Amino acid sequence: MLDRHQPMFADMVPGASVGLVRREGSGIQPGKHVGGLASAGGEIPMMLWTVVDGGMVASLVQFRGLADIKVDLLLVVGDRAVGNLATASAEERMPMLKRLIRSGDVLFFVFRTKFELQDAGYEDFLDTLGLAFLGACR
Amino acid sequence: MSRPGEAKLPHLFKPGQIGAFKTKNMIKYGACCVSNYNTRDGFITPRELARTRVIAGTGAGIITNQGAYPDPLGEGKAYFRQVALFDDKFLPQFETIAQYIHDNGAVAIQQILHAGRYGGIDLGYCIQPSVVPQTLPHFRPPRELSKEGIQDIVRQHAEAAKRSIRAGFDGTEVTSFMGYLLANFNSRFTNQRTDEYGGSVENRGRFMRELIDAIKQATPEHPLVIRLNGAELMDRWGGNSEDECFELMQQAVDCGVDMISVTVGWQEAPESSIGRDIPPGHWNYLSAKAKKMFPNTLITFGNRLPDPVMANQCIADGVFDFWEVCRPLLADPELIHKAAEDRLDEVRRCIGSLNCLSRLFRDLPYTCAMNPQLGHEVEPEYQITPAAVKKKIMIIGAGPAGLEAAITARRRGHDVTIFEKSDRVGGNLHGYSTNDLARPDDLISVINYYRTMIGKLGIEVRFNTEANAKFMRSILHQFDVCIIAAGARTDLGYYRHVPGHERMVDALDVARGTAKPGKRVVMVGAGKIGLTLAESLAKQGHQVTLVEEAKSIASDVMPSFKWRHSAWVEELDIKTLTSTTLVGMDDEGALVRNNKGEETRIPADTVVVSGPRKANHDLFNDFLWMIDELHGAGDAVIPRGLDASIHEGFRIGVRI
Repeated sequence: MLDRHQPMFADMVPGASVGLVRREGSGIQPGKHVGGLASAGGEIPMMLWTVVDGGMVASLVQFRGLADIKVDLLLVVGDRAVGNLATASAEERMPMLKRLIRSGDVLFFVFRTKFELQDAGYEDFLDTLGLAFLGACR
Repeated sequence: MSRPGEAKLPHLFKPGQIGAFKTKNMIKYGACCVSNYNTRDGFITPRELARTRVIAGTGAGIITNQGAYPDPLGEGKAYFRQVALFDDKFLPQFETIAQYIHDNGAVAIQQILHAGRYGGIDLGYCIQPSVVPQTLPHFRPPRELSKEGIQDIVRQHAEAAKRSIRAGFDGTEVTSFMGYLLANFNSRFTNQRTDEYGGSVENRGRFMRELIDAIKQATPEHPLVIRLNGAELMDRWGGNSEDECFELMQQAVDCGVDMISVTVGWQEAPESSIGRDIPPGHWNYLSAKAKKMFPNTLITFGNRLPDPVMANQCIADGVFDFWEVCRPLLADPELIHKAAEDRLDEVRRCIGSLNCLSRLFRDLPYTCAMNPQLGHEVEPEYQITPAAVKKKIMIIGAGPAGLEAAITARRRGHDVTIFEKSDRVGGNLHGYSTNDLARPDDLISVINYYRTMIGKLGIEVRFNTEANAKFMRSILHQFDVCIIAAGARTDLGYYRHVPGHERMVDALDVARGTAKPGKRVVMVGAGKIGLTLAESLAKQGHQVTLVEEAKSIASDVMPSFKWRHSAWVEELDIKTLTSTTLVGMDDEGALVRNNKGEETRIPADTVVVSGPRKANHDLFNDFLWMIDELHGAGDAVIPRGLDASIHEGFRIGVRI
């Protein structure tokens, strides 16, 4: 998927990174309370997308809670969303991710300010995912 | 009720009361957002005072002054140029505003706004009940409030309330709209505390109850309004259900608040609450529920309810007590007077373009697409004053720029004639509005407003008259001034090199209905015109593919509306090819090439081109030596859009 959508990352600076963790079964999501992320203990796997010269690479690291988080953006993916993404065709995956974010099946958090993200070249990436870059009061 | 419209809207214009204060009608000016007109350190400026003077004169029975942050650190500060109320040094200008409001016979309410999760705009952090990371990059990383911090904030609110009353305000308002600190405590999404301020609804409401108690004790004789969500629209993020929202309202009622302002949504909610895509009256059920549950507490409401006639009926039906209105009064500060005088056809409606908010979130002062004077009230150059020299003015084009220039110049005493090549007013806005999926009625209202005003002001419009050099020679020396407001056209010449270019259809012709596309359409250009038309065609059952040279779609769309187009494109299953150029057309369809050089054939019956756009500049050269003054306005200068056209038309009209 990352190769297919390489233009999304074209402006992002090396080192820019996006984390993905599963929502259920990880112990970090008490009920609907996404704030439970803050007090997540232990170690769970996190998919890490990192920009390197020439593209985005994926790796698996440990997620140790927000206090220790080193990513710019974090996507928290529900089990149903994981299943949907896994079975979707490569072409369908990115549009599906957009829909899942809008439907709340994939939650999205930012750990950098607007200007830091702009400087790191995130505007296209956020735009493509259909995320409001600014406030929304709409 | 001496004015003719008041009798037609008797529920809206009947007198009311809040606490010990009588109101002349049942209309409350809501604090809206903040203007961003003030100094960076929280002092009110002459620009703000001039705007507030206009607001005070809107005719509302209650006027709420924009939210002030109550803490010296600025943790509660949400906007770059928000006003502060943490010290007596700010009082003189608040006194002036309270005086303006009283001079107009209204009850003056000061809002206290601690932005919580959306605050700390000058700091490297914001404060919240719990550390819940941001979902919008505009806002600051969170820090958890200590219990001591909570008590400090409660005290700061009470002190700010006392200060408001000392400045001459009659009451205060605390707001949770739209996701500010109060909402952060109330909501399950942002309140994850395990102490007495978190957990159950009862505990989450503790901060609110303490806030109400402290303000009521500090200002016992003065009403307190609280703005609370009827719906957060944050359910998917683990926010409060509607039932929980109403449980929290019950707590506020039990604490003795004088009025509840029912609101909808958070900044980061994934759905619209006040945009043009929400039909007026959509959220009324929340207010009706609040009125039913709390019959002895005043309820005020106005989210996406811009129409005084609807508001009058809502009051009659017991949906709410006071109509809370803000943006419609930014678009037309005379709205209430026009309603009272039975001149509703002259109202310049808020069209929900959200120009105001799009600018706030870029740390700019807010402006209004429909009201070019908003934010410029302090500037004599923006006032409509009698012209020193009365001139004969000809305006080429009856689109928004030409029409705005015409009515502004006419109000100043000039003699104005409009020359329009088609048989109706509105220009390209006509075709655009009829294809707008959000709410065509809003954009059509712009055309209706201008049509009404040119009639009432006696402006002559010569339809079916194309202005060109020959025509100009025929009327030589009959006019002193010419304003070219002939709009922009699709630049079909841009595709001259493309094989088969003669098959292209102009998007503006499709929008006007003068060209009928086939079942399968390729729309070249995914700016606002291409998108709007593509969405409209897809909704009518056409199979549409968007082809855009740029990396992304909607590059000229208002930031607060961009996401909506993105969602429609997906919902309507419109295939989108970005970084892609049209390279050929034939009987079978379109040939396109992406930025990797890969070519794709898209089967299509019709290839419609919506961009680039080209200003109708030609007339400037043609007329240069034929008239004393020659000016341009709107898309005829540079293709932009409705707000630039209206603003530029006004600026020309007010200065000639």
